[in-house]
Amino acid sequence: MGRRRRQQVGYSSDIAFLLIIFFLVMVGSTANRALMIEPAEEIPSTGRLIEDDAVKADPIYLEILMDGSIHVAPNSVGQALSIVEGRDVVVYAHEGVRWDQVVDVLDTLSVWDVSSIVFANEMEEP
Amino acid sequence: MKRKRAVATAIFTDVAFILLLFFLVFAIASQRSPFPLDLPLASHAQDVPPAAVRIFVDKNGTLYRGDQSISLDQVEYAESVSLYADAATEFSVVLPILHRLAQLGVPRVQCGVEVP
Repeated sequence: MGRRRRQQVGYSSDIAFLLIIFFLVMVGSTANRALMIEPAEEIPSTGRLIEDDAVKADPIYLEILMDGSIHVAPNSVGQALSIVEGRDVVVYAHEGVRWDQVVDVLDTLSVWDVSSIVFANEMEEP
Repeated sequence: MKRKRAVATAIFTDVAFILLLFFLVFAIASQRSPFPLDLPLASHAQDVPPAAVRIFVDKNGTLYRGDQSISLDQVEYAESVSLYADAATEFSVVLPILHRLAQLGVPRVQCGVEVP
């Protein structure tokens, strides 16, 4: 009888351990995955920056159109992306652009280690 | 007498395991969004520790902090903020939140995504 009880306790603790491991794995699989950005402040509706220091000189201006395509001023996308490293980026998204389209751009920019981004309300001609 | 002691020990371990499981389940549940959320895909996302403040945005632009619906003014400063917006949310809804976080001086915003 004593043996049986010990065995039963042993089984339940094994099951409990398995459950704990299962939940730990679950927590690990639902770990946070994120794109890190450092949002810089701008004057609403102008796209101009409050502090000149917030953005380094000669930032790249990216315009996201409603269909998700990107317009880079004044260079082509290839030219801009080749020199984008270490520079700040001003992103302006047109009316109707979805969050996933903006995330696509942020994802691409993260490849070039660009995280300091200004989200403009309006795009001024650079 | 000996039997009674053995049984009492077994109960303690069971209670301890149940408590552990409870806290694990609670930890998982507290990470979940208050509504079904379809996060945007990003292939270069990083694994990051959970931020102190987690803001959820649904398709209609309603903000949630945890389970509570909040207004934009109720977004407060934190060292890092996680922003979980539905992929289908219009950017015009997310933009004021990003501006608010920038105004507050939040140094880092974690945009919650899924890896394809």
